[in-house]
Amino acid sequence: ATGSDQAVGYGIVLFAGAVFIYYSLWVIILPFVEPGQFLHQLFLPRAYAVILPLVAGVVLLTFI
Amino acid sequence: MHCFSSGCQMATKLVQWLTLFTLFSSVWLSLVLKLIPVELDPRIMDVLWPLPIYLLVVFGSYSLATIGYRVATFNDCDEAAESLKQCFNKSYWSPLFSIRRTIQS
Repeated sequence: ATGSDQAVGYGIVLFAGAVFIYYSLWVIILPFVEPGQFLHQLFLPRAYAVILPLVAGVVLLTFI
Repeated sequence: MHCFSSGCQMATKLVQWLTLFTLFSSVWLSLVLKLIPVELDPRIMDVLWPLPIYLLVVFGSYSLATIGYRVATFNDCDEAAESLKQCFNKSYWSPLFSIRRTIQS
C-alpha cells in the first residue's frame, strides 16, 4: 500500500494503541495510584470506564 | 482432547473458547459476588469488576490495530497492475475496453 492508504492504516494502528494505553491506565493502573496524585485529573470518574464502552457497543450494534 | 468411550477427538476452537469463557466467568462471578470467603484488597475488587469489559475493549483495539496494519502493509503490486492494464490496451478486445471507458466517464 502506498501514500494515503499507508497513512490511514498506520493512523488506525496509532488510534487503537492510544485507546489501549488510555483504557488500561484507567481500569488497571489508576486504582493503585493514591487519590491525590495528578494522574487522576487526566481521567473521567471511574463509572464512565464501564458506561462509555457499553454505550459505544450499543451504538455499533445499531449500525449492523 | 476430549474422549468418549468410542475414542478421542481434538476439541474444536469453539469448545476451547467456550471452556476458557466458562472458566473465566465462573471465577470472576464467584469473586465479584463474594461467593468465596476470601478477603480481597478493595483496590483489587476495583480492578476486578470491570475486567470483562476491559478484555472486550482490549480485543476490540487489537482487532482494529490488526486491520489498520493489514491496510498499511497491503501488497499492492503496482507494476503488476500497470502491466495488466497494458495487456488490456494491447489485446484484441482493446476497442471494447476503450468504449467502456468512454461510457464510464
